[in-house]
Amino acid sequence: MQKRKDFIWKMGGQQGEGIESCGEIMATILAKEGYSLYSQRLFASRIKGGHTTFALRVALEQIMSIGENIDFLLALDQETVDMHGVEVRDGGYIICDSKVQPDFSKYENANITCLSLPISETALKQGSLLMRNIVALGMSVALLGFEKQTFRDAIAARFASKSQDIIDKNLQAFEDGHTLVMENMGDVDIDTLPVPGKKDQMFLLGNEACALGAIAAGSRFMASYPITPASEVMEYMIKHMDKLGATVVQTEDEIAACMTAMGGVYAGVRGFTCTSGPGLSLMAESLSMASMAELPMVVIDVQRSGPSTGMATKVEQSDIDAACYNAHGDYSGIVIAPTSIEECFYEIQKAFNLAEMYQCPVIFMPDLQQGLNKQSVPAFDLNRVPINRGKMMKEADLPELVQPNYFKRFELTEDGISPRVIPGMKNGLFLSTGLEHNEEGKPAEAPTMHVAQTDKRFRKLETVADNYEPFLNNAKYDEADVLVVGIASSRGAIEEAVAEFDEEGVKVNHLQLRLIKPFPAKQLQPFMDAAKKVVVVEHNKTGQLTNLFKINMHKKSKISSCLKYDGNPFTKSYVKHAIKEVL
Amino acid sequence: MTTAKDYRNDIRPNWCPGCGHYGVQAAITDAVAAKNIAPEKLAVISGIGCSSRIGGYFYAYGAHTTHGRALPYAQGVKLANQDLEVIACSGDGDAFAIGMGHTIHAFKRNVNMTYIVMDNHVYGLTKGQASPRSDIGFVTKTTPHGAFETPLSICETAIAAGATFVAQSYMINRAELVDLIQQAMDHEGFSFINVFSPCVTYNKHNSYDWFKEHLTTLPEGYDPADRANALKVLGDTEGLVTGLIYQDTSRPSFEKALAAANGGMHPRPLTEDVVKPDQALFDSLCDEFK
Repeated sequence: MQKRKDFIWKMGGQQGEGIESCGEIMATILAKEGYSLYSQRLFASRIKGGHTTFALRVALEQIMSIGENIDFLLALDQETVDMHGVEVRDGGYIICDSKVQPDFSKYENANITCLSLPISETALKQGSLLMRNIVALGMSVALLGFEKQTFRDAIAARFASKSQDIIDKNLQAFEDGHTLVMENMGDVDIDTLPVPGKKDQMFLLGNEACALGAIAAGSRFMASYPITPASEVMEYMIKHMDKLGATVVQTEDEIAACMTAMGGVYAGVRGFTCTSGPGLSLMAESLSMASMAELPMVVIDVQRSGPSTGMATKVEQSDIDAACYNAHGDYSGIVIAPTSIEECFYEIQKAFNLAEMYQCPVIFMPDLQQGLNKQSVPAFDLNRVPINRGKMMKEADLPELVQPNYFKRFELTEDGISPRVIPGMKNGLFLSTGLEHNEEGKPAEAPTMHVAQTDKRFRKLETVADNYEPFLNNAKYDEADVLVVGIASSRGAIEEAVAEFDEEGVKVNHLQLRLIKPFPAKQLQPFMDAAKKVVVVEHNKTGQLTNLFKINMHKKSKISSCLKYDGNPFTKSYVKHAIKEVL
Repeated sequence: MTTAKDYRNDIRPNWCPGCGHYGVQAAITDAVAAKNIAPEKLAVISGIGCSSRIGGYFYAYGAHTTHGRALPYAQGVKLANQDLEVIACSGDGDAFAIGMGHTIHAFKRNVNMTYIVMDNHVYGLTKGQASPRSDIGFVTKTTPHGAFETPLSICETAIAAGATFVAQSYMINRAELVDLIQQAMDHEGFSFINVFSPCVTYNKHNSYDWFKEHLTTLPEGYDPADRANALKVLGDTEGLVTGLIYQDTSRPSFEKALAAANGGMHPRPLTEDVVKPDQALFDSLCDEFK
């Protein structure tokens, strides 16, 4: 019998029923055992009640997407059966709490095993409905054929602060769940995953990876305003503020968040803020000033579905236009996106470096799928991305300044980047203003100065794509049938689609774009030239990334889009279908 | 010792002859000189408007930001480097219209800095429109039949919002203003000074003579710690009173409160700390996800 490479487990019910915690316990243990994991939380923008699911994909090799076709669906309500039963693969299982007297009639003709088992009743037997998730965990472990003991130990550890009675009851609930499945499954051979061997892994949210990355980049200063799906970054920073000696301010709004962080940046720290679409809109004017005043400000925008409040808990990549064009005037800034949760950690450090190297705002834009879902990643390396502060001057190196002269903070240099000083430095006095200014920062409206300073602010960005890897290069063919380009979380679905095309003999090259602005046209063009067609994969209606290709690239007629804006992440099949259409 | 001359640059203000803001600039200069603040340790942060051009008129570190946002920016500067003397400056439009949300929150947040508002009851740089402080009946380009919205009682608002230092002055009373600015710099927390500063071009109503006639001083033996009395005096005088109106020395500054929340570790100037975290600390953070 062929061993499986992965399986997908999903549990659904009402929010507040402990569904996520069941998945979390399982995931934490499996990550330790060395499995590669990708989780997906689907939830409504409310606290209790409302349909929710937690899906976990477990594999032996590194995975980048939640995949499709569930192996095991655990339902605490009929809604889960109705909504997600269709996702169950041929030969898969649906188990529903008998309390809801589930109706499986939809799946009568499918090759799916449907079981109605007393989940609530079993939990109540141990004294509380709260233990439903532990019963479900026992069932899952039985279904997946894992060793019980590791999970028993984890349950004991999780409730270690509680009384022995509570630990015992939870262990019993776990055992009862396990037994229920074993007794009702019938005589089937469980096709479990082999044990991969322990690995040094972390299992975390993209948002947590962003926060850790900011810390690794030397940032101890954040100002932010709560917003779904970005708040976890601020919460993480605040939680660890004491150990870091950091300052985190929860401001009155996103304008204040951006300006407070910018004030810190002007003073010389690596300040940042974190938000989502509505907040990014509010920050537009501030970022325009950061461009004019050449402040190395980092803004994280965890993209969610818009416009306006849109679908706050659903993924979209529709802030690309806003990130590039939101700010008024001839705005010079950088926009980058991480291609994985691991990259949330490493690329944000580069975002801080780019901001200081180029003295301009950097918008770092993961999407909700990355921000709010957990993935297992190789343990982070603190020193892989060294801190680079660009042309920051040392106080001791500054030549003497004679009153009333100022330091030429905006000196018109050949590469467009001026030496940078910060308040407090003797001999570094300069003026900072959103007005057009001369080399010392004094307001200046002479036509020649505006032209010279504007040109400088754009000239400095000409080398960004040379100093930053503009995309993840998955192109293995010299001549390809199709070049597929995605950003942020679409990577996993694209990679899986490409792998199948490889097997089918279709030559598909894949790039996952990191640098969005300034657009790396020079670096992309050879890949476009080497492909018959180009498919740009993005989560929006208007083809915002596609449009950047059309504006910046030659041979535009090759370009088409694979768009998805229903709030759900890309799947392998969806991407495959789009690529097949252009073949 | 520094003197007023040390803060002088060669930029000529774009203010009209006779503008009250010259007096405010002179008073700030006298106060920082008296406090012996080295120019490189002084950061003057301003918003947008006639008065907010002041950020560029001192030989110091000056930042002229966006309209209404001087305060969030200035708080960021102070929290990043507590060794700096941070003074934010605005006009009444910048502070009490577009920036009012930030102003209220700065009162309650209590970051250790000084906020000086040049209050002339009118918009000057945009050439004469009503401000949140305009008197009822005041005729401007946007209130041709006279202003009819209630003028904002800013000092009462400040006290109600939790401000710990609320003062008011008139730029003509130089000695009082210089003294108040020094007290503000000494105050451990957010210090707010509303300074009447007449606009000779767009406000012929609230003129020098008008302020001279209407302003009163605080009564003999006035106790600025008495919150109820402060509000009563402001009510009785319709806010046209100068001096240190209210001071609460019992509330910790944001920095002190943050340090307390941080387990007693007093945050050092963060600007000196842009480095990778210690490997052991980083490992302990990562272990949470293992």
